[in-house]
Amino acid sequence: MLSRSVPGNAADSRGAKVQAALNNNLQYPELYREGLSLLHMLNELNALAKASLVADVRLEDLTSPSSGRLQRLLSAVLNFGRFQEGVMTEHKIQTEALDKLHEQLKTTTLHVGELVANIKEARERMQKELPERAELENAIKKEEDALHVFENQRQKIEQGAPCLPNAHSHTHTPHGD
Amino acid sequence: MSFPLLSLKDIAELLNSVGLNVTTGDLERPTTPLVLRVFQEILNITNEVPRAEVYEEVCVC
Repeated sequence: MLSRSVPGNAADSRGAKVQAALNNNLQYPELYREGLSLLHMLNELNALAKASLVADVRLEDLTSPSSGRLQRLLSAVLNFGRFQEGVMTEHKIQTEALDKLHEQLKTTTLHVGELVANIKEARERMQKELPERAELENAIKKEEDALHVFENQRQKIEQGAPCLPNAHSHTHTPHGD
Repeated sequence: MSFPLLSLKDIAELLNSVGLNVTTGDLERPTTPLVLRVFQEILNITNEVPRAEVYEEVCVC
């Protein structure tokens, strides 16, 4: 009945240590085995009872139980159990929501990483193209300066020769007559 | 801090619902084997004792 709480259970490392200590230090460890089982259970029960707001669980509650104390202890433990069930349900819901958020965060982080890489690449490309851009801007400026010079010359020519016939009428008039 | 005291009938029903064959009469005259069996099963089910402080905060019994 107490197999899971008996110190020395292979599945319980703490129990295995207790068992080893018993075997090494006691001449007749089997004499203490049953008592230790009870103490081990009382220890586990105390943790549960403390969480359930019952502070005074005693060895007598196991060895010579009374109806009143058992009722009180079981009421506390069962109330705690029902509370824990509610908490665990809420915990499951919140955990699932948190998992979704983690997944979204992961995806978003990946996108951000890609964007950062793209920006870095664009900046590097821009740095490489800066000299070429400067040369092109210089060339454009020179062409614009030359254009201004020619525009000025054209305006001066137009202002200085107001009676000059326009090219269209000049070329067609002789043939038209 | 207190908690609602369940009737022996309610306790027996709850214990039956988790597979423990316990009657109201057993709880009225508890014996060591019964107590050990009940608490062993409860400890097996409740394999952790979390959120005790939360329980203390929200329990408005």
